[in-house]
Amino acid sequence: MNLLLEGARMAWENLWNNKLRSVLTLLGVAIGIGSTVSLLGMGFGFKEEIFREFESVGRNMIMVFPNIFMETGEKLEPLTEADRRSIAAVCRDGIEEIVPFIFGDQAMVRYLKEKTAPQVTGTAPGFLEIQGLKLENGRFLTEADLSTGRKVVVLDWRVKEKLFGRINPVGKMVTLYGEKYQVIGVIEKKISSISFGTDTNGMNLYLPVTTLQRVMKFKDYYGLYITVSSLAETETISKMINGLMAKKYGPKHGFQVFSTEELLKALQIVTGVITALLGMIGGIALLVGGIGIMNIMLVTVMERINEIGIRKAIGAKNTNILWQFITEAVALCLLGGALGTGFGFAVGFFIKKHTPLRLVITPGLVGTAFLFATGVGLFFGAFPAWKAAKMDPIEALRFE
Amino acid sequence: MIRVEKLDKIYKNGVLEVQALFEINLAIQAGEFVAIMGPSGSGKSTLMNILGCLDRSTNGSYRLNGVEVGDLNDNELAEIRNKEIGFIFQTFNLLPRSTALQNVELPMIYAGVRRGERREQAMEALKLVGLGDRWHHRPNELSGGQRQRVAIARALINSPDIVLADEPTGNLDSTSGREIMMILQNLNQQGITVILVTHDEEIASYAQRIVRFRDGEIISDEPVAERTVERE
Ligand SMILES: Nc1ncnc2c1ncn2[C@@H]1O[C@H](COP(=O)(O)OP(=O)(O)OP(=O)(O)O)[C@@H](O)[C@H]1O
Ligand SMILES: [Mg+2]
Repeated sequence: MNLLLEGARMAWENLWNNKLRSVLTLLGVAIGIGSTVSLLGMGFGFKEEIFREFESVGRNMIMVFPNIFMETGEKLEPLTEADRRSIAAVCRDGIEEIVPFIFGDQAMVRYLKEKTAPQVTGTAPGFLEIQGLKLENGRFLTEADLSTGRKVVVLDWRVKEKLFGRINPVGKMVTLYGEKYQVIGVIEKKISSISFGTDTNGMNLYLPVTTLQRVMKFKDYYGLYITVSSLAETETISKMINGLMAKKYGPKHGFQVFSTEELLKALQIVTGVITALLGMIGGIALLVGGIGIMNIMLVTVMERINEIGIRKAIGAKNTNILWQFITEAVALCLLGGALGTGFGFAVGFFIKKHTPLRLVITPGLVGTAFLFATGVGLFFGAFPAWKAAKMDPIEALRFE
Repeated sequence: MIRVEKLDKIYKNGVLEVQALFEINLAIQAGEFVAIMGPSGSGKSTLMNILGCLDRSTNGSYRLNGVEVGDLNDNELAEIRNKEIGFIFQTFNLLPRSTALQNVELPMIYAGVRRGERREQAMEALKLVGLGDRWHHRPNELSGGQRQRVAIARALINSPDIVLADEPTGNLDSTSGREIMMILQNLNQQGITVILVTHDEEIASYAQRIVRFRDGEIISDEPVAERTVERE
């Protein structure tokens, strides 16, 4: 224990005596550790973001969309009210809610002199929960709005800001498709980078699906969001719907039926691969840093052959010498690791501030980084230290 | 204490072989003060290195306090160098970046002595060689004589039974050389066995006995007729 402490002290003294060289060398490790930490942090951040998103949406959701990636020659089939009914009938037990939606034509919405062109979506109650959105003001669409095809709209915060500024828009009338619509609610800002079907970075305006169907002279749906009462049933119900569509439109039907659970699983694999790749890039940087350590340790050993001879002459054992140089390499790596972790945090802070991405740097990640730094020191310090330890004392003393 | 029998040392550099020692026989009792003399290349340093357990003989036997040194492993030799033998070199061999105090402390680190105790003992040893006020100086801030006194303090710090000095005055002027010899003679009077290599007859006269070498062999071994005894 005493020798361990002495080793650390001697290592520190030597590193201090060669400040510039030490700093340059540990910079290599710092960059390696720093990039590993920030890249992995980014991977973890991405993963966490996806989980959060799925948590807010609920993992027991099934989406039925017309396949937009269809091969040429296939016809884009709309989902009919009959389809909706048959899905509701077949899976009556498991299904909680079916929320249909259609998109409207690009159109101007006006309030007094202000105007803007949001994405217009016709939908039904339940849409808000499915999208993980919240109201800032007023209310969302109700069954009553749908059954009578009321001319009411819900704005998202961007549209509201553009048209109304700081004024409360609830109850005000806006012009859309040449008609007057009453604003009934405002959706608050959602901090998220992914979404299902709607562009959260764009402007959105929602009205009852029946109203939009009338305006568009369109009697079908673009797609359905289906919530299932339990996660366990999601997969079977998803399969049932798929079967239903196949029966009606043929096995190569143009619909995509997938559950959030399936999507999550697929995304988990993708993010896992991305994280591993990011980690590998960091790992390569770390490897380069490690080789730098080995190089400088070999130089140090060559420069200090006389010192090694002196130490051996006055009673240092081979293991003492081995330990001395390994401690030095590990100390360099730990200092590099500390600097690198700080660097990783700085990058994380910067990314959080200037991009929508987030870095998740956990204590576990920091711990692993230090473990790796130690490992790099041990691994790349071992050979130079071993070279030093096995030197013959007389030859080392004579060396000029 | 030291018993060397039929000791050979052959240096092998690839195909080239140099025999530096031929069947050396030598016995040194505890408390003796022996000077080894001889022309350059006659094998004095070679023998000293073997006696100091820094190097191994090729053939023959070296018994130190009854133990056959040839049978010991590297760790056991390191232990002997650390505790039983103090080595003093012509070129001082101090760690250039360490202070006098740190240099003197070094053998105690490998002996596992605690830091506080180490400091204290090293200070004490430096005071004994007259360098108590120079403990924080690095070797390049000290004169040759002072450096050699630091080296002596280091050699003595773990209280060895034997001090081996290979031309300790070789790099010093005669005044500093005399000071060093005074210290060695003092140590010898305290019971430490001292073996000294020198080219200088005057320096050798501080010893009790002179062993002369030529071409790797001992050619004479006799007591000093007129011994120099310095008193402080
Ligand atoms: N490492 C070595 N490899 C090969 N030959 C060596 C080695 N060390 C010493 N020798 C040879 O061994 C012989 C004895 O050398 P040694 O150093 O013991 O002489 P010395 O008596 O100490 O001389 P000096 O008075 O010059 O110090 C010399 O011929 C020398 O060249
Ligand atoms: Mg010599």
